Amino acid sequence: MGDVNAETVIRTVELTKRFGDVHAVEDLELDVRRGEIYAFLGRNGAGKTTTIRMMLALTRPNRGFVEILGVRMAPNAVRAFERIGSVLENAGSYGNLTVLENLEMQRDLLGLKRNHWVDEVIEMCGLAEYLKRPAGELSLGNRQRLALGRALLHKPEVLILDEPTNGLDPVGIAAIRELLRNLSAERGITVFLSSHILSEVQQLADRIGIIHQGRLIEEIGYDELRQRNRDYLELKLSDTARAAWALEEVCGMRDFAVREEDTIRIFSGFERAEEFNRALVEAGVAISSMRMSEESLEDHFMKLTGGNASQEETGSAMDAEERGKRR
Amino acid sequence: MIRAIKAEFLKVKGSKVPLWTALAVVAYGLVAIAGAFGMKATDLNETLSTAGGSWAIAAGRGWYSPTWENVLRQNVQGIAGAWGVLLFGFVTAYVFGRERKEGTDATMLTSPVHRRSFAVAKTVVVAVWVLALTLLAFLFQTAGFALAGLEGFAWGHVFGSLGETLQAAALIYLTLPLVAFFALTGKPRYLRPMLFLVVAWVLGNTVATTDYAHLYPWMMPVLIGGASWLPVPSDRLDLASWVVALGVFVFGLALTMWKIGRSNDAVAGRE
Repeated sequence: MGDVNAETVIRTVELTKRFGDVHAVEDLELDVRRGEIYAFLGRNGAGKTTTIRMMLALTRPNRGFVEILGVRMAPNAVRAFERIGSVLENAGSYGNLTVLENLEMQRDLLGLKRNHWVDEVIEMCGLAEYLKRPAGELSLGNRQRLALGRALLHKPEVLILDEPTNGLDPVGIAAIRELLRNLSAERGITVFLSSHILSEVQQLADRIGIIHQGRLIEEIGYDELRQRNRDYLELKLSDTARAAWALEEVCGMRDFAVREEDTIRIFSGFERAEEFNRALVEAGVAISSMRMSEESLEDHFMKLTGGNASQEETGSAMDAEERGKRR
Repeated sequence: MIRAIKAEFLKVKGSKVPLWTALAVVAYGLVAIAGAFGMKATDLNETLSTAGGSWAIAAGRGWYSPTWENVLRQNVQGIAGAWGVLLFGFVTAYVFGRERKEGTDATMLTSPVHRRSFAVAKTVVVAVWVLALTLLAFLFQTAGFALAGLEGFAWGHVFGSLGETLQAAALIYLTLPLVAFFALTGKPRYLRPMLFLVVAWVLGNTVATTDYAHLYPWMMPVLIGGASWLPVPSDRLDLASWVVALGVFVFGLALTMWKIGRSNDAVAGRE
């Protein structure tokens, strides 16, 4: 998990990109901290790829800027690129070259010597059995692995990945998830990845930024991420401070959160609802409503981005498809 | 820079395009060799001397007689004509345009190597490729002519022809950075640079009839050996010609570097 006090590694300031009348990205402000896995979630066309392209200086912003590792990103930001690994959507490899040649070429370009790390990357990305195969003959999933391998060759401090699990089968998705988790936990690599599949990033990310129509509409932190998808009992109350006291002191309940001025969410011990009710009433707290939550993070995402289950291209639909495959 | 050059050469490895371009050279060579056999079997010079116009003038100079000197002129012609311009142009369009076509441009542009290095490295690859095709064309055709049992062999003719052939290839090469620039713009990737070349060549045929052919880069190679053995002046290239050709090269390379160096907006917004 990223440390909230850690140094900012990726920063965007008023980042804006327009294509004619289309506002692809609008006033985007992001702060990604060292060691964090930050997922950039949005439906297709939300502005994820454009943002990533601006981060990598492949697209010029109309306004604002991107700083990575303290370097203002611009074409030829060679010093920054030495510390960044990236995989863009539909990651291109040289199809006429074998997997090994693709990796060797990147190694040469980076001025690295052949060492055990190259072998480790090959192993990590599950490329060992494909080394002599032309990249053009690989499945989409294996091309993604190759692209990821290439991005890892120089032990980057920051990984920027655009839809890294695109085209991967469920086992491949799990493997990539595990790999990214390890890279972040063991090597302290900061990972910024985009996705339209909520369930994937939810299991992986320390923070999720939701982008919709080019705007960052919500950021969900580590704690909230883990609470969002939990069932909870939501109470609307007259006095949350007194209610918190009653829950803690009378019921011994600490797994709750004060959400707003008049709301408390209890995340466990639902079978003790009657006891909570009695304790609150005895403490002089008026309860105006009490209900079990039905909203998951996915529902929340759909609500924010205006999607619905019938839309094939929404994250939810894609997500459902992925889940279907897993079954 | 060396790393970029090494990478650019590796990118060509395993590609079928070098083979196809070599086959194109051989195919043209076969036609030229067949022509040499044809010249020997028929009295072409005699026939064309009565054809009138430029043909008769060329025949008057004995250009269609089956001699080594005449057939070696075909080596220059093969490179200098539309065939060489288009083939070398295609090589350039492939080297520069394939990255965008195959989606590897982002990989290249996010490498910790200055973008200009890639432009220069690709220009070096094109130079080597063009030189290899030129030498293949020359050697293959010359070897074929040897089989025809022509008269008047002299090493002087062979080396003279080789010099002119390389000169023609060099003049075409100097125009290729402009083709590279077009390969980096717009879609589809290879159509635009090839259209540019066709237009440049067609315009050249008009310019060739004026007094300014020696200043028009796409006609300069033709002036070295004479087009289609017709009596196009072969001594018209002067210092101004080379200055113009070098100017086109520098301008084209600068344009290509500028294009490859700026953000790649043309392919953005795909999301």
